[in-house]
Amino acid sequence: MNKEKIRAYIWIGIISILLGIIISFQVKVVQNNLLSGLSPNVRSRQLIVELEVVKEKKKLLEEDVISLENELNEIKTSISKENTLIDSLYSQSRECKKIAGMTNVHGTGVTISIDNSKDEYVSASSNIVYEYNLILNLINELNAAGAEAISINDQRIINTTEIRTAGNSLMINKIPVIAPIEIKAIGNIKTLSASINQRFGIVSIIRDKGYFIETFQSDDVVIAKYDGSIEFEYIQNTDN
Amino acid sequence: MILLKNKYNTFLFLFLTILLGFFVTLLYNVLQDNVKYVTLSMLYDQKNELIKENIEIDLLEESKERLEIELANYKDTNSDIIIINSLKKEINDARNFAGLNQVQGQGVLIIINDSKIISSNREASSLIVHDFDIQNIITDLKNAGAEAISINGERVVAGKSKIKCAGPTIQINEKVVAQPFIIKAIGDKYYLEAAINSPNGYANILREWNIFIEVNTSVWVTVDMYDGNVKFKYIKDYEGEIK
Repeated sequence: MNKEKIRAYIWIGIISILLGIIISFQVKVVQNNLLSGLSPNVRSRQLIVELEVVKEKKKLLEEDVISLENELNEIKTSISKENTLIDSLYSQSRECKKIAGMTNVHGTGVTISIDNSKDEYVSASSNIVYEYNLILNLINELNAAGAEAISINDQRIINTTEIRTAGNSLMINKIPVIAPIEIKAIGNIKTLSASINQRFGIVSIIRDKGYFIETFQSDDVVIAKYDGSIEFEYIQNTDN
Repeated sequence: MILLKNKYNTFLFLFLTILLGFFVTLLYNVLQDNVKYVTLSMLYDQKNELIKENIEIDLLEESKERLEIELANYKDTNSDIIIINSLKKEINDARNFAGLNQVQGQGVLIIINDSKIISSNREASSLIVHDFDIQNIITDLKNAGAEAISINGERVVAGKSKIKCAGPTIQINEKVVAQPFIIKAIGDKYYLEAAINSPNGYANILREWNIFIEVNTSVWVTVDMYDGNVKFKYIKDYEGEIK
C-alpha cells in the first residue's frame, strides 16, 4: 500500500462520516417537526395576514350596522312620540324581539367555561367539540333550571339553534365554534349553579371525562342578541 | 491524486459530494429563521377562525342590506300607514321567530309509540319512550334544519320548553302528554325524513329497542303556537355596547 492510496481512503472516510452526521441530524429534525404534526409557518403566516384583513373588514361592517341601527331607532322613537298607535306597535315589536332572542340582554346568571385538557396525552384523543351531547345536556340542565337566555361563545340559543359536531368544530347557528367554549346563562344564580353543580351532575360528568370546566356566578351577565339570518324558507303564516 | 486515477473512486467521490451538498442545503433551509414550524392544531385553529369570520361577515352584510332598505323606507315616507305596516311586519317576523304564531309549511309527521313486543328478558323501562328519547329526536330534527317543531300540539320553544319525565307521561311546556307521541316539524320534508331514517340517527337506536317509530312526509303541516308564559323575571334590556 502506498501513501497516496491511504490518503484517498482517509478522504472518503471523512466525507462519509460528515454525510452520516448530517443525515442523522436531518432525520432527527424531520422526526421532531414534521412527524409530530408540525408544518412550515409560511402557510400559517398567510392565514394570519388573511385573518387580519377579514377582521378589519368585519369591524367596519359592525360599525356600519350599529350606526344604521341607531339611526333607525332614533327615527322610530321620534315618530312614535307623535303617534300613539305607532308607539304601541313599536313597544310591542321590541317585546316580541326580546322573546325571540333578537335583543341584547343582561341580568344575574352564571358563566361556564369549558376547555380541552392541557395534558397532551388526554387532549390528543379527546376534544370537547366531538362530544356535543355533553354540551346539549348542559344546555338542557340550564333550561330545566329556568334559564331565560343562553349563549355559547356569543351565539344566542334560539328556537332553531342547532348544536352539532361538523368537522373539527361545533356548529351553532351555522357558525363554527371551537374550544375554549364559554356558555352564559341568565336566570336565578342559585338555581342555575346548583342544578349543574349537583353531585354526579353534568359538570362533574364533563370534568370526569378529562375536560377543564369551571363555573362562575355573576350579578351581571351580558348576552348578545341573535344576529343571524331571520328569513324562514318553509314557514308560512296561517290566516288566523 | 491517486483517487482520481481510478474511475470507480472518481464516481464514488462525486456521488458522495453531491449528496453532501444536497443535505447541507436542506439543513440550511430547515434551520433558517423564517421557516419556523407551527403545530398542525395551530393551523387548524387559524383556519377555523378564518371560516368563522367569513361566515359572520356574510351575516353582517345581510343585516346591513336589510337595515339600509328599512331605513330608506322610513326616510322616503312621511305617511304613517307605511310605517305602521312595516312595524306590523317586524312584529310578525319576531313572533314567527319566537314561536308565537301558528305556522304552516311542508314537513314531516312522526309517530312514536311504546314497544308492543313482549319479551321476558327485558325490563319494562327499556320498552317505553323516555323524555331523553324525545329530546334526541328533536335534536336530530333541528340539525336537519327544522324551522318549527311541536310535540302533541305543544310548540317546542328554546329556553321555555321543558321536556321532562313525569312518571308514565312526559311533561312538555306546562302540559302533560302521554304516548303515542306525535311530533310535527316544518322544514325540507326529505331532509327531515332522512334525519329520522338515517342509520346513525337516534331513531334507529329506538327501532333497535323495538319502539314503534314512523315518519310521514307531508306537503302541509300545521304547527301550533306556543301559548305558555312569556314573561321574563331575570332578563333586562341591555343598552350598552357588547365589547
